[in-house]
Amino acid sequence: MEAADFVMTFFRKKKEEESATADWRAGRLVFRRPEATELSFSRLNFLRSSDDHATLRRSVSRIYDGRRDMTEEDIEAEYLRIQRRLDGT
Amino acid sequence: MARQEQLLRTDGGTNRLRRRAVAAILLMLLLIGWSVLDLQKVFGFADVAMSADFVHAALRVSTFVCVLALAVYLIFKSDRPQLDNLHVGSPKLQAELDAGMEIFKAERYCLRVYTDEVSRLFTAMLANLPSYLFRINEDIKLGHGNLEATTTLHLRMQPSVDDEPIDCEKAETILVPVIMARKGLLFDNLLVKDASGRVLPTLSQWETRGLTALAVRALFGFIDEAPPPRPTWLDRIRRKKVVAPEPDDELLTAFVEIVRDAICLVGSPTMLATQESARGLNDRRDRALDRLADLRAKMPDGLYQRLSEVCRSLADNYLIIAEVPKPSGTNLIVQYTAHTQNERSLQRGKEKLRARLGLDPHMLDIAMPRMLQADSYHCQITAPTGLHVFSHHLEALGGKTPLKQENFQVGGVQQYVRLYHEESRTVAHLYVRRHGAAITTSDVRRAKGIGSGVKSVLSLRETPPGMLGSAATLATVVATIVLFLTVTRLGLAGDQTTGSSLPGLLFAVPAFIAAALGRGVDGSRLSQSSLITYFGLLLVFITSISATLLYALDAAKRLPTEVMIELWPSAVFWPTDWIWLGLSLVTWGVAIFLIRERRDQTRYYLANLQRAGQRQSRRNVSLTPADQPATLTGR
Repeated sequence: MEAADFVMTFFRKKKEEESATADWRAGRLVFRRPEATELSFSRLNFLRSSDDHATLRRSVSRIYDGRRDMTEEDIEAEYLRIQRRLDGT
Repeated sequence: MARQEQLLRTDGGTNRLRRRAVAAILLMLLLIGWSVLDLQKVFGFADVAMSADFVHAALRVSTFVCVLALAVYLIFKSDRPQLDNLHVGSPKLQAELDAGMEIFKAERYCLRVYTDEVSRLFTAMLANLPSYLFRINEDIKLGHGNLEATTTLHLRMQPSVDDEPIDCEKAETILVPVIMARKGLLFDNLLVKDASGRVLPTLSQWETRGLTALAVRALFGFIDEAPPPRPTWLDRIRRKKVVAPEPDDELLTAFVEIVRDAICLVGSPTMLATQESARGLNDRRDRALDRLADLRAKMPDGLYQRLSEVCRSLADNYLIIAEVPKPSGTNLIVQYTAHTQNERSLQRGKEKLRARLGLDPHMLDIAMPRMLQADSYHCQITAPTGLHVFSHHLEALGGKTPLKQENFQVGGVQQYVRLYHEESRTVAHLYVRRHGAAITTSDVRRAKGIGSGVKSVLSLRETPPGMLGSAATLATVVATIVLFLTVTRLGLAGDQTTGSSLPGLLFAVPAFIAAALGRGVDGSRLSQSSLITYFGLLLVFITSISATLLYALDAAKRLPTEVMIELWPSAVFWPTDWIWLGLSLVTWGVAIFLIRERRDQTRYYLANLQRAGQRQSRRNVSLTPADQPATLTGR
């Protein structure tokens, strides 16, 4: 191997390394915005039909009927019961 | 001592570093002073037995080495403030005390404060926003390293899919999930407003948690949804309330685990995964999200996938909910304004050089997170005054290549994407119209190229002729003066000394520069100019200063570089100077380059304006009644 080949190999290697580690943002000013993109709520279509809306109506009504009149003590007791179950005690 | 420590804490030790640099500079100057003196006498080495020349040379060399060492230190040692001791540190992610209990209490509070209709509308919007959100307008203004975005959301209150729209007749305000943002990223100066510009209150984190828990509980209700027992005629007479079945315990614990350990968990998923102290929280989060899979057997087909997406979306992101006055019509407008600081990423390239020279950025990447999230999306990005949009294209976040129309095939449907190209406007437009059904997470994931999101890449340029025109004029003036002196050698030739005209000529160049400076060059415009203009002006400055100094030297002491050029064989002779000739060539080279650049940029800009006008008039012509029959016949 001649000296020139050795030098060229080194330069090629360096160039390849550079391109492999190049950041897509390099050389530009990036404004990253906090809004969610892929998993945003604008991508959710949970309620697809009028039946789904009706189910939601019933579900919300059930919650309000069952929990609206619960006192703070009832809430604490319910949570502690679930907590015990989660802890396996 | 205590005061010094206090200073070190507040100024990062910069004053101490400055004092060190001043001491090094003074020492260097002192050594230079000594080295030009007769050091042998200064140090009292005159009577030393060694050779006087040797002592003198040795002292000079050692002084020179010391000066060199100090110069190297001053050049390469950059002072950086040490502010580590002021840093509060990264947020410590730990399990919150009684988080679950607080969520339950917040949920109870929301149940008491908001009616079931308001909660249902909020849940429906959260779980199915595309049915409600039909238009997004974004107005982005670029400032100095900061971006101000005003996003206007147009929502319909009665989506077609809902047979019994929610009327919220008893409520004065409704709750709208305005923003879903990635956990760990904050908005600067966020303001949520209504259509009239009145600032709307946003819910606290505690209330948001309660409301989110309420919404998720309502969606969990889909799992054990059984047709409610129909009230008998006897029940109706007795007005007996139909009692809901007791919720499944396994379902309830799964709900609590998911809400407490995943959805209401503080901290970005990345930070949770990487921070050693948060490893436990991260494991709990993963376990909670996997709990849904255990309930899969109890769910109808397709529900698991939908519920999983909702939970993962809420676990990765946080919500900003606004309390909005109930609209009188069927549509609602909510807008929010936020500032975003630039994330400077200038490892190399032209923009890095611009930043180092104190020039404003010309290449910008702006994320478009709201694109393809509504029926129509319109974004306008206004360039700062004095600049226009040279080019505007779209790239995928994380990608490097410009996107084409083919990349916007989502779920097998081609989306309508349009932006202005080569129109040199001061505003960049991006218009997207969604074709087909609402785009879901899985659709976006499958779409090649735009899965992770889309960004606008803007290249800005100064509106010609601008500073480039001033630079070209300045270069021409300087080149003309230098050429005039090169040709005439006025006041420089020995037998034609002009005497009093010499100072006038000396000050002629700066006077011309001052005149040109006053006409079109100022600091704020310079920061927006191109690198060509900046370096062109720098060359003009260097050549004019060189010419002035050279003139002073040449007038005082005749330079030995004079030459007689034979313009015509043995007939016409031109006495001149090689240095002046060289300087003249350089100044004219700079002037010609700048003039050419100004001409090309102005022509391109004007042609683009003309093209934009023609496109606009063509669009308008096609809408005139006279052309309508022809267009229809053509179809």
